[in-house]
Amino acid sequence: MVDFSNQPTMKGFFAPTRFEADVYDCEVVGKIPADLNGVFVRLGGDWLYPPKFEDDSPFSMDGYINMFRFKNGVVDYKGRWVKTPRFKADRAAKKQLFGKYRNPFTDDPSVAGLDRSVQNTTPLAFAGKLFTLKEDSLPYEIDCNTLETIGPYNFHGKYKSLTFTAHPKVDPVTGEMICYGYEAEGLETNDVFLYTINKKGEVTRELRFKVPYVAMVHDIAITQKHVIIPIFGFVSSMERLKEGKVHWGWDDTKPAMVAIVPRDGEAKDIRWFKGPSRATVHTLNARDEGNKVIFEAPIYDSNPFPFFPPIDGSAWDSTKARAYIRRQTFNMNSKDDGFTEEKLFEMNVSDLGRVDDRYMTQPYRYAFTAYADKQRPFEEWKAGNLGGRVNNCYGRFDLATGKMNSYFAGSTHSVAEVCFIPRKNGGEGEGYIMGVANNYAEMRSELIIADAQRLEEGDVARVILPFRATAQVHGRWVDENELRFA
Amino acid sequence: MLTRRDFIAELAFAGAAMAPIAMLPEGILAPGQMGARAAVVSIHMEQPYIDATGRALPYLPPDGLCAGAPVAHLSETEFRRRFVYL
Repeated sequence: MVDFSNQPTMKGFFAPTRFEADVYDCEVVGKIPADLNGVFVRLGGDWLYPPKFEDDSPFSMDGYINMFRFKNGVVDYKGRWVKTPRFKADRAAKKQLFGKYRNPFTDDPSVAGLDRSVQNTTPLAFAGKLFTLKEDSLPYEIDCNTLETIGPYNFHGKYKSLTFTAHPKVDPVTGEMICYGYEAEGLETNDVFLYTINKKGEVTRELRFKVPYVAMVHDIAITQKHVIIPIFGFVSSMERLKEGKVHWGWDDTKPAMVAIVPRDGEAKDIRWFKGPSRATVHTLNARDEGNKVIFEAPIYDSNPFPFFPPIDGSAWDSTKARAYIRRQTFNMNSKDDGFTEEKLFEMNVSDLGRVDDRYMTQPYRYAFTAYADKQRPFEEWKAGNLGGRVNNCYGRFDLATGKMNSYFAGSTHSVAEVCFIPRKNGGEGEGYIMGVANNYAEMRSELIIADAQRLEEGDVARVILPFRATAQVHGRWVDENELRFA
Repeated sequence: MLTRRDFIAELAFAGAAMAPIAMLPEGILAPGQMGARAAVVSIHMEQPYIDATGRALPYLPPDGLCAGAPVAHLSETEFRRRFVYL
C-alpha cells in the first residue's frame, strides 16, 4: 500500500493529489470573456508512488495533463495521468520502480529497457494533434477530448532523434515547427538533431551536429534566418550515471555557449559564441537585425536547480539562482566568438516567460512572466509562512520603455507560469493573460484570467476548482479551431 | 514532526484503554473529572492536535487552512529543491 507519510515536504498544499478528475461547469467568479473559446492545457507532475531516492529531482514526477475547456462562457475541467510505460509498470508493481532523474542505472532491474520518460513538461498542439513533451523521449500523443494517452509519436517515422525537446518553436510566418532532440542517439551522446516540420506534420529538413560538451539543451529561439541554441553548465557523463547520480551536475567552469544555426544551413555553417557562466533554461524571443541576431531571455546568473548540484561538491548558491530579462546580441560578421549582453530590467523574475507568439521571430515589445513582489501583502496566518518566497504577481514587461505593469494574484496565493492569449485581430499584447494560482488559505487552485492591457484592474474572471490542481511546469492556450474538440 | 499516521499507530493501544471513559454517558462524571472525558484530538495538515483545555474543542485553523505552513520551515536550498517553480 502506498505510503507518503515519510515524505516530509509532501504535506499541506504539497501533498500528492493522485486522482483523475472531471468538473463540469466550474464555479466562476466574474464573467468568462465571450471570445475565449478553446482550451488552456497544462502539463506537470504528481507522484503516483513516492520517489525511490530522497535526493531525486522533482522533474521525475509522473506526468499529469489537465485542461480547462472554454466554450460559450462555460468552463469544464479535466485531469488525467499521462499513462506512459513507466506509469503502467509502477502501477502494476504498486511501487516506484524507477530511480533518479534520467539515470537508468538506478532503476529496478525489472524495468531495464523500458521507456522511462514521465512526460511532465510541456503540452503542444501541432498539425491537428495534442502532445505531451519531455526532453528525454519522443512526444506522446494525447486524445484532445479525453486526455487519454495514445502513445509515442515520431512524425511518420521521419523524426529520427530518440529525444524531442520540451520547447519546439512554431514560426508564425511559415507555420513550420523548428524542433530538436539532444542526446539524440542515446544517453550521453553529444548529438543534436535539428528538424523543420511543416504545418501538416511532415519532416522537411534534418540537420545533425554535435555540441562541444554534453549539456542540457532545454530551450531555443528562432528568427526568420537562424536558430539560437544556448547550452550552459549542466553537464553529464556515463561515469556520473554509473555512480548513481542524477543526470545533471553543475560545472561552473563551463562557459555558457550559444550556437547560431542558419535555418537553411549545414553543420559547417554553425557559429558557436562563448560568454560568462550563465543558465539560459528558457527563452523569450529573437530576431534578425541586419547582420546581428538579437536574443532575449530570462537568464540566470548561475545554477537555478539545487537538485542538480555543483560537481565540485560546493554548496548550491541561492543568491545566484536569479533570472533577469537580458538581451544578448550576436554579430554574425564578427571574427571572434564573443557577444554582448544587457540586463533589461533590474528585478529578478520567473524564467517561465512568454511573449505574444504571433510576434515570434519578429520585432516585439512585450514579455510576460511571474515574479515575487515582497511589498505585496501575504497573510501568513491564513496561508502559512511563504511570504516573499513565492511568485504572487504577473508582470507585463515593456521592452521598449522599460516599464512594467503588474497583476497581483492575492494575499494567500502563488502563481504558476503565465500564458498570453491574443485577442483575434488585436495588436501585440491585446488579449488576456491566464495562469493557475495556488490558494493556500482555501486549499484549492484558481485559474486567473485578466485583461493583458489592464493588469492593475485585477481579474476579468477566476475559475474556482474545489481542490488542488497538480503542479504545472508549462501551460498553453489551444484555440478552438486548432484541434478537433468535441 | 509527528504525523497523523504515526500518531494513530502509537496511540492505538492508549486509545483503546481510554475508550471506556469516552463512552460514559453525560452527567456520570463529577465536574473535576470532565477534563479527562473531554480530551479531543483533531488532525490538521496531517498533524494531530490534542485539546488540553478541557473545553472539548477541536483545533480550528485561524480562518484559513495555512496550507503552505508544512514547508515554510525549509531552508531556501531545501525549498527550491522541491518547489523550483513556485
